[in-house]
Amino acid sequence: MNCTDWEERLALYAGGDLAPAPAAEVERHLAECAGCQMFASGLRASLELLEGAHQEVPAPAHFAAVRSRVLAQLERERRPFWRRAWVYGFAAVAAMLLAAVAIWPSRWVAPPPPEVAIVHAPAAPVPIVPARPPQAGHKPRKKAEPGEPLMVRLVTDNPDVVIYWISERKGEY
Amino acid sequence: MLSEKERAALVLRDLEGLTTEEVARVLGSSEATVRSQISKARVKVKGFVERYFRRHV
Repeated sequence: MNCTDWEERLALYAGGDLAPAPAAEVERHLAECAGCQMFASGLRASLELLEGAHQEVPAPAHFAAVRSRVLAQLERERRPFWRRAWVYGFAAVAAMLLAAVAIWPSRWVAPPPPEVAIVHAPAAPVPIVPARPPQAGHKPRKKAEPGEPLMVRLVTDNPDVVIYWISERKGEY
Repeated sequence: MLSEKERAALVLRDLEGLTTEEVARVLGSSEATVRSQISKARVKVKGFVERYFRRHV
């Protein structure tokens, strides 16, 4: 028989809770099993410690400190509502933000895109001269309104390289 | 950790000195249940005590 099967009987035996016949059986096993002897002596020691601790009268200061810690712990556990309120409040704010983000684009009117002048730049860097003289037969390009940003796109020979130049100057490049 | 029933059975039997029959009556359980709870609680307490002394002594 495995010694773990004796644990329950040994625990009852340690507190004197076995009838004479099973107690005698446990004693016979203990006489020939060193592991169970150690287990039984550990049980007796822990029971004696428990009884001793129960009889010991704690010092008033120690008792007061333990009592205040227990009461503080109980108080913390009694306030789960606040914790839940924090969570619900946070969830409500998050939901409102999400709703605001969902509604916002429908009311938002995109501003007209800035005027773009496209200039094909040579491979070598050159001074940027994006403005072209007006050609005959072409409608003159609408002049940028004062305050409107001007954007110049430089297209290089390398298709992966496009340079944007945004000017804040009023109608001038 | 002791369950509530185990703790109650252990306190009543080993600290308050009630018999297993009395403990069973107080807790409204059968005597076999109480004996099982007491033995489990004693084994657990043994484990706690031994771990405590291994760590602190």
